[in-house]
Amino acid sequence: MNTRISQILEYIPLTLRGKLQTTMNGLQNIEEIRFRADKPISVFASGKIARINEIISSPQDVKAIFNAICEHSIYAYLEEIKQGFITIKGGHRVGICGRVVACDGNIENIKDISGINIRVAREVIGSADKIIKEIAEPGFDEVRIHSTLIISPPQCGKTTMLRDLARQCSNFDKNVSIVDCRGEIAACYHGIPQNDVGSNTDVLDGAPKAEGMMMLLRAMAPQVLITDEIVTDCDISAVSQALSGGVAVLASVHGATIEDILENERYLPLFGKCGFSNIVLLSRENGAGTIEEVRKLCLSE
Amino acid sequence: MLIRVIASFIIIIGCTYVGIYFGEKLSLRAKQLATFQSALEILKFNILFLNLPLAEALYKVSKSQPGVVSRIFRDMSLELSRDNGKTVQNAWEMSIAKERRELNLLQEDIVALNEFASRLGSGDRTDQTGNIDITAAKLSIFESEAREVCKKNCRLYKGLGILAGLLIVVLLI
Repeated sequence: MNTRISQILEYIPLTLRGKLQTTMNGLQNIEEIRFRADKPISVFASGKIARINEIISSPQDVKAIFNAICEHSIYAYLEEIKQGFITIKGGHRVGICGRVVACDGNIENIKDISGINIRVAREVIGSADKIIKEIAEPGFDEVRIHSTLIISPPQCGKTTMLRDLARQCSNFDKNVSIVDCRGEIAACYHGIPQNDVGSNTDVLDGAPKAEGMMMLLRAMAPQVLITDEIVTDCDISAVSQALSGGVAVLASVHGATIEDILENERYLPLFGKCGFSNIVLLSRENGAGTIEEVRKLCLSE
Repeated sequence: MLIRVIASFIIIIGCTYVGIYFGEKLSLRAKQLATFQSALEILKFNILFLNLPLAEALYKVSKSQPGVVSRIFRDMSLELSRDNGKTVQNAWEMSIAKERRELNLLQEDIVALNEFASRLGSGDRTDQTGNIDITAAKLSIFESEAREVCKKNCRLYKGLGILAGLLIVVLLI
């Protein structure tokens, strides 16, 4: 049983743990474990769902898992609960489902938890090896990092690649700052990154991207600023400000092709004289993280 | 003669000690209730302002309190930190049961504390502070009652101890 699965089993009630452990011993590449009230536990492994019919998780079991994940302190995890997920020790992401308590259209809490999905953290050290030469250019006395935008549809490994880039840039003795809005890059637990993002890396966990980037620029003086999924106009504006401030920005955005982004007027402020120097397009052609194209942009483009 | 004097002296001292012991036991309830209230105040601070998870908040409380109350909060914190699937209520009841002999509390005090534990950790910070405030208010009322009883009976027990000692000595002589 690998360490990551053992970390997850610590949150499972003793009544289920033994049987689940025995069953999971026979599975490879476990990605998700799902618990639903009064339903069999299902495990997503090696690209297939394995339903474990002999282990039914009762509503009490689901509640016990939820309480253990919240460290018996729902008040301390309320912000995460409102977002629908909690990051646990080891960087594993736990999605929760139940009855939403809303006020004025805003989610205030999730009660009567009926479904829990534990996504096993997967850190791929070296996933950015193929593009690091394009991004990090050795100079006379130090390595120069070029601002790079990673484009891909969902589930193609953008976050995994950004995480590895953070680690590698940090290893070049660059001060790296990450705005980890959804806790996916560094997977902080009690403020400490559970993934290896390098020893020169500061993480602003859970901060809104635009405000977080401005805070880091003012407070941490980063040489490399990393953020995931630029979506809103505020995000674009903040990235643009960081780029024009001379900071190397490594970011990602959803898109199917490079042209989708380059021809979108909203993203124009990100390109040009002070904009991104490289664009990397990812796909799932040969599995998540397949590099389709690395395009160098001319400064005048 | 000297032996009689020494024996009488020992009897009087012994009976006085028994009287003082029972008087102190009465005052101990009020003292422990006051300590619990102080512990709840610190717990409230740790939850409301520091947003600490329960096990950590309880451990900090245990560091700030003396004697049996400290041990109860420490044991509960350790139970919750262990990977044993215990609920908050289970951990509390176990900690109370372990120290029951050291606690000079009445059943009504224990019931109030158990009710507090049954709501601990579930709900948001407002719920938690409400739970703590209600429990602290109950304990405060119990403490006032305990102090009243102590005021009435402490002297009585001490006096009875001395008188009982004197009576035994007179009867023996």
